[in-house]
Amino acid sequence: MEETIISGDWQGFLGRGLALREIQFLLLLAQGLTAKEIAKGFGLAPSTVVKRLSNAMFKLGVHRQSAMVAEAMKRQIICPVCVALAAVIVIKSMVDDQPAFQNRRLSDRRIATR
Amino acid sequence: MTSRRFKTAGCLIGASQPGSQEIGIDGEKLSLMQLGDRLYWENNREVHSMESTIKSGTWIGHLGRGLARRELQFLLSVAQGLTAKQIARSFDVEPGTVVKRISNAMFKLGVHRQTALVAEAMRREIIVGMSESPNPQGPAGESNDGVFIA
Repeated sequence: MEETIISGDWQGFLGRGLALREIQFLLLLAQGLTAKEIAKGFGLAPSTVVKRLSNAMFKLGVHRQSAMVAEAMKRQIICPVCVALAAVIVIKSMVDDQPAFQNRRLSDRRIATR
Repeated sequence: MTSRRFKTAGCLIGASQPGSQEIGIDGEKLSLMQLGDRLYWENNREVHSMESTIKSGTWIGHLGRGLARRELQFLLSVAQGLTAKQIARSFDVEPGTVVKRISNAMFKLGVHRQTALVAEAMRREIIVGMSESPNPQGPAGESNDGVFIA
């Protein structure tokens, strides 16, 4: 099973050619942050972020950051997080199912007593 | 076309009845907000039903999904990694014009950076990348099989 990274509304997949730090920065880039903003968030030098993003651009064979985001989405290295949302909804419904069943049983008993 | 318009008109008349918060199209219940979205979407789809896509390189852009033709053309170029100046040269317009149209597209999608613009446009399926991968990967897979067999 590939490991996934979730950042904001976006989801990144390890094991598809990009390293952990590259995917982390790429996900933030896709949300519209600049290299300097990412660096401040991680407590790094901006040049470190630029270096990792440049490396990811080299791996994807492009020369601009916007093209990198497009290429990464095309190769499904990153994608919007609808799948994770669906999973959360499913889990919530599973958790909520048990109280719902208990309520139904209680109501059945009430009807039976009447 | 006309039948759909009559149908939506009927729904609107139904909506004006007092006390009815929910109305339906084709049997499904919709709130007023959802109905508004649906009508807007369907109208948009009708308007652009004739010429709906723009191709640029390995990318396809869909008109009628919120961006204008020029915005979409420049966005497709941005997604391929061109700068505003390069786009301006290829379209024979001023660089400021390109920046303006891209800024307008960013405003429409509610983002402030070009990278986020590309990501948001792909998420909304305004632009879609055609995969070249089947052609290179097919022969490559076969050759790999050959290597494994040998």
